[in-house]
Amino acid sequence: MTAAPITVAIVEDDARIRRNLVAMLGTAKDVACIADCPTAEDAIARLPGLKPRVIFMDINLPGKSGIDCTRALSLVTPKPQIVMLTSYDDNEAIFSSLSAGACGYLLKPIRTAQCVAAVRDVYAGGAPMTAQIARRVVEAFNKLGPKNSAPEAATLSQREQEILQLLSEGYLYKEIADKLAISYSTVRTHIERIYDKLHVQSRAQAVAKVSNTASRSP
Amino acid sequence: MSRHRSQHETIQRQHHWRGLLGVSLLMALSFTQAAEPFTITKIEADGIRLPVPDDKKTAVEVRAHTRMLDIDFSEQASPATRPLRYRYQLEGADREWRDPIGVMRFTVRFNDAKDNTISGEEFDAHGESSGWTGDVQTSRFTARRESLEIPTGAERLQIWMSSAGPQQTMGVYAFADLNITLVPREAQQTSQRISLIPVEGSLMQTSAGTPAGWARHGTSLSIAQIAPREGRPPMIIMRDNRPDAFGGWLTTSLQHPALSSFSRIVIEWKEAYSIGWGGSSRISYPYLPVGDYRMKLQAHTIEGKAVGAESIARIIVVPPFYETKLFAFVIAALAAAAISLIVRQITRNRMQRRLDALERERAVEHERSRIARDLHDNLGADLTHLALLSDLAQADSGDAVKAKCHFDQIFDLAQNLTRQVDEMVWAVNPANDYIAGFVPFLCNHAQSYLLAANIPCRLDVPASLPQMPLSSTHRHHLFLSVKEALHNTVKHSQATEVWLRIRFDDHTMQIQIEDNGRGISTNHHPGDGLRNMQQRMTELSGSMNVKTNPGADTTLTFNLPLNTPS
Repeated sequence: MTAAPITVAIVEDDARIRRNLVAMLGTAKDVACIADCPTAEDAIARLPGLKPRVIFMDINLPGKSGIDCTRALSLVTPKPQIVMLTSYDDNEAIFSSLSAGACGYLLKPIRTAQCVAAVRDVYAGGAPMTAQIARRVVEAFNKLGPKNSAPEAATLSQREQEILQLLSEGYLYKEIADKLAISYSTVRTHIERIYDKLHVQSRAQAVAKVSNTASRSP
Repeated sequence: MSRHRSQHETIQRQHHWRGLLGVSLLMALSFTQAAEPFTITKIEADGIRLPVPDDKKTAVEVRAHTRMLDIDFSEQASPATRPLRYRYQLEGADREWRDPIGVMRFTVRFNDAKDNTISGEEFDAHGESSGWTGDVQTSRFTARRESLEIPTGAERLQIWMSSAGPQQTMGVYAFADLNITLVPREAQQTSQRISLIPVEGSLMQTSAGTPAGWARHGTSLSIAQIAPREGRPPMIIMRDNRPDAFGGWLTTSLQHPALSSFSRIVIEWKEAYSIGWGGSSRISYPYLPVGDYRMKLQAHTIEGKAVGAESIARIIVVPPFYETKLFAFVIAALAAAAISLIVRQITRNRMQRRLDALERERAVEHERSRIARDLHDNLGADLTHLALLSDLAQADSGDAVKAKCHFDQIFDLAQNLTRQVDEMVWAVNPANDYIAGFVPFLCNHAQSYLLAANIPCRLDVPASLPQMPLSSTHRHHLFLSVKEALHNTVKHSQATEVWLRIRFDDHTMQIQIEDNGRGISTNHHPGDGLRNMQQRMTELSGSMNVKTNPGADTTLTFNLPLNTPS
């Protein structure tokens, strides 16, 4: 393997977990952990300069949350693939993270193989999405509605909506590919695009919120 | 007074006798009524006519604060006895019998030489003289003496006696031994005495006769009478027996020297009288206080003797409702009731708050013991197992295959423990007390659990979830029930697809776990799992239902009533 390793950074306040993650990533030749940050503030200060391709981000951090950190780091070019690490299945927090710019999440504890696979997966453009997240994505797009959408706001294509619908019903990527007669990687591409649109959408929403508040107050 | 009472008793005794003799009560009543010479005809309160009851017991009700109560009565047509005087008493207001003030008058006039009156002195008489017995013959006469200055210019005297006070005056006024003494101006002159009754040299023997110097006057000349007196000269009387007439005596040609030489006159006479009132009339009482009254009317002869039965009307002056004792009582009772209600409400609220607090405490207590149980049952056992496996892994460290097997188990167990802790923390976290938080959690669990068993999990969940609270107890039991159901499915069904369907209607939440496995055979003995689920649903006042086609699918349904937020 002559290709440059995938650069990874870790944002995690628990030192033991942080050390374990570094150790886990160290087992793979094609992965290089270039930074480990104990706080969001540290990450925001250091990571834009280091430009890691993949970031493992804890949601619950002291000070700034992992979600805020994600929002800040997803504006860096090239945009890093941010994978949230969470100790429990908090749908709301995960969806917020995904809206803020993350493209996947892992539930702790994770195995070494799982950890490395996740790095390779997201680097390759893989975007995991569960039924619950799919449901929230649909909801988020419906909420703004076509009428209210700002010019820069994204709308979902027919195919994307179909995929989200199937996902929310519990179908796996492979099953969706079979059902829609498309390849597995096409499904992943669609989902990646859905994530991108979600980020745009959430930013547009934030902008709309700000301008709404501004226009309302004299 | 005693006279009236005895009269009344006599009449009552007569009634009794009539009753014994078997005369009908009606007869007795009509007789009694006929024996009442006066009848109350009208009662008015401030000009508003009130019904006069037929009997003496039924009361006439009069409002308190009535300015004037008028009682009208008329004399019954009874030629044998009429006309009569009356006396009245409103028992409860009057302490004794009352005579309406009829007035008769004795007047001395001073005239000039042409008989024009210069001035007069009037002596009024009303009521009864102190020695009156009810009969002019037996009554004791009272002596009177009056001294009058003779006004300047007066030459002649005239005496007037008249029943012309108020028109309805009735009664008897008797005069005897009437003399006038003229007192001279100068001490050396002698006084002159004139005898008017008996008139000197005149015989006063018949009532029709006229004594010398006297004349009758008035609308009824028969009122002026001469009455004999046992062993003495006759007297002159006024006997007014008509409520609509008056009459009397006056002197026409009193023989006496010119008054100019006299300074004053002294008039002496003896009198006896009983003067009252007769005819239809009206008695008025202003502002009668609240009370029970009896209006009594007693007829009397011209001479003032009670005759016939009393006319009686019961009159009750009723207080306005706000002055009644009942009203005061009701107000007091209402006030007491209101206060007790308020106190009770306060007490109840306090009790309710205390009960609520106890209930909350109990719920917290319950929750704590449940968590403690879960910690012990689940985590405790797993942690023990974890320690055991670590020890085994160490013991087998020489054997790479065996050691790896142990380490895999350790990881699985640790991961499982983490999940369990997550679940427990999630279940007790108040932030998750909503359906919108619970459903995704349940779906995620079902998917990851079934995915691990290589069974695709399909979801049929409404796009929008109701914003309703779901208590931690509900979440706990529901989650464990679904978990148990999924466990059974993975273990027994051999299904290749599972549907988790969640539906809501107004008051219930329905969760269905449907698999395409081999069903539950009819002779299958329901295990602890099913019983546990059943028990959990019962605790939530919900229900559980299993529908199975042996060899095909199984549908497990949980129905749960939702408490609408209050």
